[in-house]
Amino acid sequence: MNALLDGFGALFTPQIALCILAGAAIGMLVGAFPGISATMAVALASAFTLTMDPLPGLAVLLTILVAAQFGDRIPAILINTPGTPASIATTFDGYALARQGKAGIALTASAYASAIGGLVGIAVLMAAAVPLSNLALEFGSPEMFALVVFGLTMMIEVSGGKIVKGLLAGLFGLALGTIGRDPLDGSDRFTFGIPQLVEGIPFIAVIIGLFGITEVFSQMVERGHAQQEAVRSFGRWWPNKAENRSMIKPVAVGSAVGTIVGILPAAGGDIGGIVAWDQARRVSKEPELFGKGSLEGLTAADSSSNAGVGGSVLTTLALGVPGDSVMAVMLGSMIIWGIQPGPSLFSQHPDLVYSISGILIFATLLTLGLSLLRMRGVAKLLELPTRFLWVVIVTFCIVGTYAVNNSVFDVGLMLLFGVVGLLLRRFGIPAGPIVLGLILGPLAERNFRRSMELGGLETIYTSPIAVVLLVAAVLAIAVPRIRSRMKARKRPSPPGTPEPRQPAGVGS
Amino acid sequence: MGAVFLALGVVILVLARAIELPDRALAVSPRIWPEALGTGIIALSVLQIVLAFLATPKRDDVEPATRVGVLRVAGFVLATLAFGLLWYYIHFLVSGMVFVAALTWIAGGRGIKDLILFPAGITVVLYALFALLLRVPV
Repeated sequence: MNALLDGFGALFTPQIALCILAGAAIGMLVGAFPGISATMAVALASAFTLTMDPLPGLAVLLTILVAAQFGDRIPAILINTPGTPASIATTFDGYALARQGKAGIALTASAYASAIGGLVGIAVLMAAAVPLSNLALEFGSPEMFALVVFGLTMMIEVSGGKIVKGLLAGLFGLALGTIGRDPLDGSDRFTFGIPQLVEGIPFIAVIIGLFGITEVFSQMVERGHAQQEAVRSFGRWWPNKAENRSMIKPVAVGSAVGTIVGILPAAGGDIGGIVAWDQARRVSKEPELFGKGSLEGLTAADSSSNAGVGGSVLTTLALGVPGDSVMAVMLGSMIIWGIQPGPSLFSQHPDLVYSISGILIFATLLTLGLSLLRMRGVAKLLELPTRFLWVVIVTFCIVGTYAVNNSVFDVGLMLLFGVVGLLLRRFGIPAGPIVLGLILGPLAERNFRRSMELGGLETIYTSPIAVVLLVAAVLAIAVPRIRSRMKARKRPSPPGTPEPRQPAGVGS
Repeated sequence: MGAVFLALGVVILVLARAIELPDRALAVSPRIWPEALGTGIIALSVLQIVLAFLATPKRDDVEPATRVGVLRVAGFVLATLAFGLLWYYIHFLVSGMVFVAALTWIAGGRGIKDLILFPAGITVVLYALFALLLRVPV
């Protein structure tokens, strides 16, 4: 109890308050502009915070991380462009809601879901950091491979009913993930002598191209057709009672999934959001609305990606293994400050662990308040004529992509994927599985080949955790299909019933 | 589109088979993963082509393309490529403003407000955010 009081007590100083405010302002701005990732902002801010004491420095960095995951929902909902990778799944339903004139509810629900997810993630992990970290330590290559296989089953779910096209897109994404260094021997592969490809295909450039640029190009190509008008109406801002009730289950699912995914090393808010969206769809009474403007889908994804922040922070502290790329940057800063994250941190600096949890809680509450206040100001953005909106989006995407690695090559790649995304959309091939394949591909290959080196397939099928995950993967594919066939046999649908549309952000 | 993916699958398979094998013995070849992906893409492409012959294509999610829209996309791509070259030689505040003005013109903007004031404002905001605040060398 003393450590808890000491840890929280250390935060009640004007300096820490100022640092949290500054971090919130920077983070919101960073998140709202596509192309500026939280990793990049935290990396840049690290250079300025290294001269500060550890606690104020951590207050700035952690608040940037939290606030960026609120700010990134705005472009995801309003212009179908994820502000950071963590809001990829936000586009699935957020943009569809905005186009239905429900942008106000979407933004409010997203802010609350993000805050609840964030607080649940922190609370659960404050209580169960040690046992959960022990479980995550059990994950070797076979278990990670099985986990990735489970993740890949979502390709089918995000294909919007176009299974063959979705799988083709997914395999294309997995193939893109093979570009760069071989995961085991480190030799260059499919780089064609281009140095920028040695570290792998730039992920940010690909997602900005596939989502942001493709959306603008698609609107341009189809201009003249009423349905392609930019979002101009916010509608109601506050969900009614029935809508509030409908969000309880998806937020619970999202918070649980996000916390678990956050704990796992190398799995960030982007994966957490997609997994939670898929899981919430499976348990929903209205799965057919997912991808067409479902508040359940939106809140599941957003609560999950924010719940993952608590998980990734505490995995970093407990194991000394970064939960995601942002935490890798933060780990470097902590080591320079003389703090060595790992199991011993809990015995040596228990108060610091609670101080960090306290920073995350304050940052979440402050950013929620800022989100609710600021949302009405975003209405001004939508008053821009469409031609200005196109230009603003494209220029911010270009400069934002350039800023990640200061690379003109990345900008060219983003443009290429913008055109590729447009062609794929015209031919009805969803973009979501490509991103999923690109994220999970390197993890899948590395852990599969490591498992093979360690002892062949036996290492996978003799691991109880891996077997459970693989069985879950099979069930995840089979159960919804068996269930829908059984339902169809009982109650045949009337002729002419339209197939569900693919998710706005997924299939586009 | 199935034919394009079929060609892509073949290219991946050929490239995978060109990966040099290391001298030391390995439990699995480094070619196995890309080969599996290439084979998978080929198989699904063939399936897609067969399905395309058997079923009537549905384009329910896609509006017809307009000629002016296609020209605008081509204009944006060319302008961006030109900006990539211009950026090397001319300061961002100038090249950026010319670029934004060009995009606005392609998108249908006309007049002083559209082609001077709006580009100037956007360029200054971009410069302040990236160059001054985030220290990105633009």
